[in-house]
Amino acid sequence: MKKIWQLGFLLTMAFVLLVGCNQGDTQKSSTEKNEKTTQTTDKTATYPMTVKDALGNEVEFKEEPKKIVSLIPSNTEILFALGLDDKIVGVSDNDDYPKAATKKEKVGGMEFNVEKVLSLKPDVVFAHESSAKSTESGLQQLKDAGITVFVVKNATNFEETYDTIKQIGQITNQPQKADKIVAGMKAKVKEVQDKVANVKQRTAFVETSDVPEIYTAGKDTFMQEIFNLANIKNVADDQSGWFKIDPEQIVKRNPDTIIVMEDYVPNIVEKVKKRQGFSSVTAVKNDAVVLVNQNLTARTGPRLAEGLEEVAKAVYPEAFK
Amino acid sequence: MKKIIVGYIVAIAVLLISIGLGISVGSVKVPISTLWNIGVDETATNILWNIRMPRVILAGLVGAALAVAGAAFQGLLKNPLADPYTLGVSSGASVGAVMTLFFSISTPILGIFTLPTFSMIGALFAMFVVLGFAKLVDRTMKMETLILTGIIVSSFLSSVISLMIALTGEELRQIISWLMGSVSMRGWPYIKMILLFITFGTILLWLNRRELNAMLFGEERAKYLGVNVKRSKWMLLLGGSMLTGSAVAVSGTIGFVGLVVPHITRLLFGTDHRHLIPLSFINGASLLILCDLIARTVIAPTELPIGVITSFIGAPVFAYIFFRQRRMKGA
Repeated sequence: MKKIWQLGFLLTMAFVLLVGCNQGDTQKSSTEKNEKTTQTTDKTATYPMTVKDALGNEVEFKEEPKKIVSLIPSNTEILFALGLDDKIVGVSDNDDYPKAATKKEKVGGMEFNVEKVLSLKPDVVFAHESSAKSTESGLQQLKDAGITVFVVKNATNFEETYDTIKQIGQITNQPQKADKIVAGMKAKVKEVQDKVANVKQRTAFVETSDVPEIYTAGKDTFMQEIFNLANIKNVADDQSGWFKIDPEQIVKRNPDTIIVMEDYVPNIVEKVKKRQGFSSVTAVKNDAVVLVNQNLTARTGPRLAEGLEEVAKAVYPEAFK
Repeated sequence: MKKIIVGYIVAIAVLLISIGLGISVGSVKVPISTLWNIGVDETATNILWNIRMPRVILAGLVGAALAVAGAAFQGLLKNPLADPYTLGVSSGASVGAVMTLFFSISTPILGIFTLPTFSMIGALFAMFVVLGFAKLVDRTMKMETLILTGIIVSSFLSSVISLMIALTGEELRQIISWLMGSVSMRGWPYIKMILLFITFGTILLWLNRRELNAMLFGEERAKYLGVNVKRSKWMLLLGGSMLTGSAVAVSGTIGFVGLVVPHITRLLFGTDHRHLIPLSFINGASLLILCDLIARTVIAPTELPIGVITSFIGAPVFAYIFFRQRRMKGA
């Protein structure tokens, strides 16, 4: 029984890391082999090209990748947005967007299946900085088998997300499409910001898990960046990163809006409203407990601007009428 | 005899202090006058009466239940390592709860009690499997048979839980956070629910305090002393399972309390179950209230998992008392 408990603890930690890592910064390890090519990247995708990945490795692409494997949902969403449906041969188990992604071959969850990836014979595998450390040996095995592995940077703000999209567009020979996506996102961000520019600022609390372990975002998180852009005051911004908060604190901090993201809990909005002791919270009194799709704000991909809009709408619904 | 009286006085004093601290100290500062000025400050009243108070009481009840169950199991099985987890009862409760989450079972009649109810059913089911199998193997149900059967069943059930965890997607987080154990945000309804089971279970064990003492000399001797061993054993197992099942059902798996509290109590005040049972009850309550207090205040506003604290505090305290006791005996 104790083992289960320990396993539970480890797994929870892993989850916290998973959530946290989307915002956290991983230290760069540059132990990988260095390719000796020194070509520069170029706007009009000319092959062969060499691109520096998140771990500082110079990764060479001799020609346009025709078979692509993605190991994390945000990469997958970017690749699909770039119109590479035909070229994607494998995605992770967690990929659920767009719908077409669910029909692709699955290569495993956070720990991907090396044999499965090898069997798909991809030209490039898009890994991610947030899980590069935990899957280091697996990635090395892929490299040893001669497969090109590109570790995508863990974007910590919108600008870095734009860069990531452009970079993946470059590698896959879709630079124009990438520019278009980024332009669209920027327009959306601008639109949201205009709408909330003159509102009276409200406070919000965001949670990604239900009682008894309520996790929320403090400062130095992507969530905080979204709050900043949407002109929202985060009631938990005195702490750093994602953390488990004492429920007393939520009542005390009395947010105007509670944003819940744990859509896997049935009837979560009603549950939050009925929580013991929450009746005095402004958000509960004003019926401002709102469910927002976590994938929109946690995945640093093309839907991020949508995530910003959803959060802003949750807090300032009248501005979006 | 004097020692026992001192024991009771100290234990009750510690419990009262724990409850006082538990209610007055928290990550949010709430004036203690809120206790009687109900409703004057809505936020403060909510925090004190609906969040903190139920939490303290639930921690006390769960701690008491686990400790008493541990005392009874240790006495009954004459195994110092026995605790509510030994007989597979808590694994059964866990399987019941994890299944509820895994299959997203929800019954309109039971509402929020769906999980605790299924967890209780799991606990009782596991207990009957253990007892039934032990009886099949050996009609007299020797203690060794019981312990081995408990281990067989609980390791099987643990793998069932691991399997379900491996097969889940999104519900994983819910399951994990449940398995971690917590007394947070359960509220008054849960307290009412388990109060009945805990009272009943504790009474069952209390009724068999003399039988437990007699069984310390072995089952054969106990029989000669006029104890209906079979009946007592059943009552003790049922009572212990009920206590464990209800504790696990409302708070998940909180380790260490059931193992350590009876030992500490026994080392300090002796093995007489007439006193061991009530003292374990009080000490278990104090320990868990204090552990929960530390868990929620030490790095406030962040909370630590309570299980971390129970082991972190419990193990060194246990080691210290064990060491002192043995050294004093040796000297």
